[in-house]
Amino acid sequence: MKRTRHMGFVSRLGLMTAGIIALVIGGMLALALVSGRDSVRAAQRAEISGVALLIRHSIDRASFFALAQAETLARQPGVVQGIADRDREGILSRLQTTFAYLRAETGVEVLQFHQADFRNLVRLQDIARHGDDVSKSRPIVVAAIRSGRSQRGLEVGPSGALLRGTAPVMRDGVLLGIAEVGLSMNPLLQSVKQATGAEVGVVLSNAMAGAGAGTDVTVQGSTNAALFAALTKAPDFRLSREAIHLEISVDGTRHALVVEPLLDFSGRMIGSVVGAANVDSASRAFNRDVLILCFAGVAGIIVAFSVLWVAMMGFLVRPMEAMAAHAERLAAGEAGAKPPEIGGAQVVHRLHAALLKLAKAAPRP
Amino acid sequence: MSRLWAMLLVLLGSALASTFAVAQQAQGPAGPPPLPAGVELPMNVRLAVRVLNITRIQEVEREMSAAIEFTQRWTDPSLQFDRVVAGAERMDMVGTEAEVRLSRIWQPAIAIENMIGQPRAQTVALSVFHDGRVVLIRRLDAEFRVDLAMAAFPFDQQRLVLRFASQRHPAAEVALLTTEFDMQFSGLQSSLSVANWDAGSLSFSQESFFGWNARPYARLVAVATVERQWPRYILRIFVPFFALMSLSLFLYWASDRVIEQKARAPMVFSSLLALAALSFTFEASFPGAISLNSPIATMISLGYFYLPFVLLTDAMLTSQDSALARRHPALIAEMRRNVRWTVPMLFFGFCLLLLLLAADRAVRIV
Repeated sequence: MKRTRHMGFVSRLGLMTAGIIALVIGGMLALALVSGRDSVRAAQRAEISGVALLIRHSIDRASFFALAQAETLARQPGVVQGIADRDREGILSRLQTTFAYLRAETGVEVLQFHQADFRNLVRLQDIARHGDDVSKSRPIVVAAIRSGRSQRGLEVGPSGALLRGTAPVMRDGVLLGIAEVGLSMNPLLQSVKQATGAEVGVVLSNAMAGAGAGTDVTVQGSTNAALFAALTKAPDFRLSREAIHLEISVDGTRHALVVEPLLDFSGRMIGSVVGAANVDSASRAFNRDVLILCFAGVAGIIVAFSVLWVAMMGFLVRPMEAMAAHAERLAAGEAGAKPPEIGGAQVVHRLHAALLKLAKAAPRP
Repeated sequence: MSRLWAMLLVLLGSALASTFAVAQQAQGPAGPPPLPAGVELPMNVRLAVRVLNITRIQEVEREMSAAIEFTQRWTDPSLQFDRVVAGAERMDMVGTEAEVRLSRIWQPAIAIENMIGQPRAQTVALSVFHDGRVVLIRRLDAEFRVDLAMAAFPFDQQRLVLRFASQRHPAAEVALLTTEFDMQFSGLQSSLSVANWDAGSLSFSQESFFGWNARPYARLVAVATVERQWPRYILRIFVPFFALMSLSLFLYWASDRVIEQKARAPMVFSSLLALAALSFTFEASFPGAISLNSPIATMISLGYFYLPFVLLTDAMLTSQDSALARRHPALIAEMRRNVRWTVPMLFFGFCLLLLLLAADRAVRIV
């Protein structure tokens, strides 16, 4: 009966010891893992932020390129004369070859001229359509005509979201019209992909861009259509008015995303440019670290508990059990009982010696 | 007189012939056709790659035998023709006819950098479209140098890399691209001839490198991912190993009546010999499994230390005659009770860790 109570105490002591060791090592492990996870995420964020920076820079350079093309055209005397005379055929014959080259080689999708009364004079990308009033639908053209200054920016038109540059066509200080060049974003996406290795896509919000109802998004262009179709369908995907970072798994592969807001010329958000980098290898490396740390932690708990437990049992508990058994035999009248080899700690030896002295000195009945 | 005229004519002819030959020598050998005119540089050459079959993967030699088809697309305005006059949208050529035509037109001279020697077999097909588009399809069966990592054997997933680059034109002249369109025409055949491997996917990435003339060159890297059919290896590899290692449990847990003390050392040394035999068997059956530092190689190496350690601790903690046993008899008994749990637990736990690290494809924690 006494032994049962005694073992109960030892077991409780063992459990408490194991619990404390597990708590200390587990706490240290948790801290290390949280810190490691934060470091991995910070590294991923830094990597994808580089993609975001390049996207912004590329958009800026592309719109500048569109403007430079528009300025070059607006300064050609033949073009100036053609716009002054409203000579559609003359402009077409002069620029058709140039436009074909620019379209094939540099991603120029739109090359058109507007009159100062906001009417379209000629569209090289759509020759049959001309003479319509663009003042309601084309803020960038209106701004260029009203200010008499060049404008550049992103604008959604019949040809989609293009990076556009508009330059005033002037003669003797009089505004004759506007030259406009629109650049597709696809070559830009490809160049960002080549530079960073990340997949890049333009995602338009149907609600924001007025392309449709609801909150759905449309992938207007991307370097990987299947991936962006899957990413935009993921529950965690969202557009934002500020650059945000997301992490989305597609078919078991993790992608770190940066979602850059896409503002049109009027400052209206129409969607986002999304950069997606595969971070699966970094996640796997971290998973391996987690496994190794967990094993090291469990092994540490086992070893530390074993050392403490063996020391406690071998130096204190077992010798005291032997001593108690011997004392019980003496008390039961076995005066000749041989003292056991108890071993153990010094204090146990002293206690044992004291007990034996006490047994000898005690008056016998 | 007529004989004199004839001699003069012969002399004149030979002099003209030698002059022509010298002029030809001065010009040098005929080089490849120049880059097409009227196209902005760099020429965009699109590449689609199909891995039709993988017939062999040699881990130790780090080689792969595969049938590859790669399609090059570019536009050469000088090849345009009138489709009404020709009566066809395009001109198709195969084999020798295609090679002859290719020798007369510009081509990007794309080669697979890690191909070993010449292909065992190859075919070529060429289509020239009326608008100047050129489609060149090369299909070849060859050996390739690949980088194989056995660190996760037998749960490994190998990335078999094919590096495409133009041999002649730097990046300023030829850009290698793979568009979405080309990716639709690319892929890895789902059923492969190579045994114990499953086909994964094919992906592309772009690189640049500095060539022999210190100019940057474009390189397109196609990566075919294949996965080893690991369930087939479990019984053949891990069961014999853990069966041998289970001796440690018998040593710690079996009493003297079951395994006598004097019989224990011979059993351990027999197991060590069996372990050595097992490692040779593994290397013969699964080349690279031991020599290329796989998890099972690490486990076997640890096993050589583990079994003697178990024997040693068992002998030390069983002996009642040692100084420690005489001084602290309870301590020795407690240590024995403890090590019979903790030592096998740590060893088999470490083996489990190695397996989990190797099979990290299945492990997703964060």
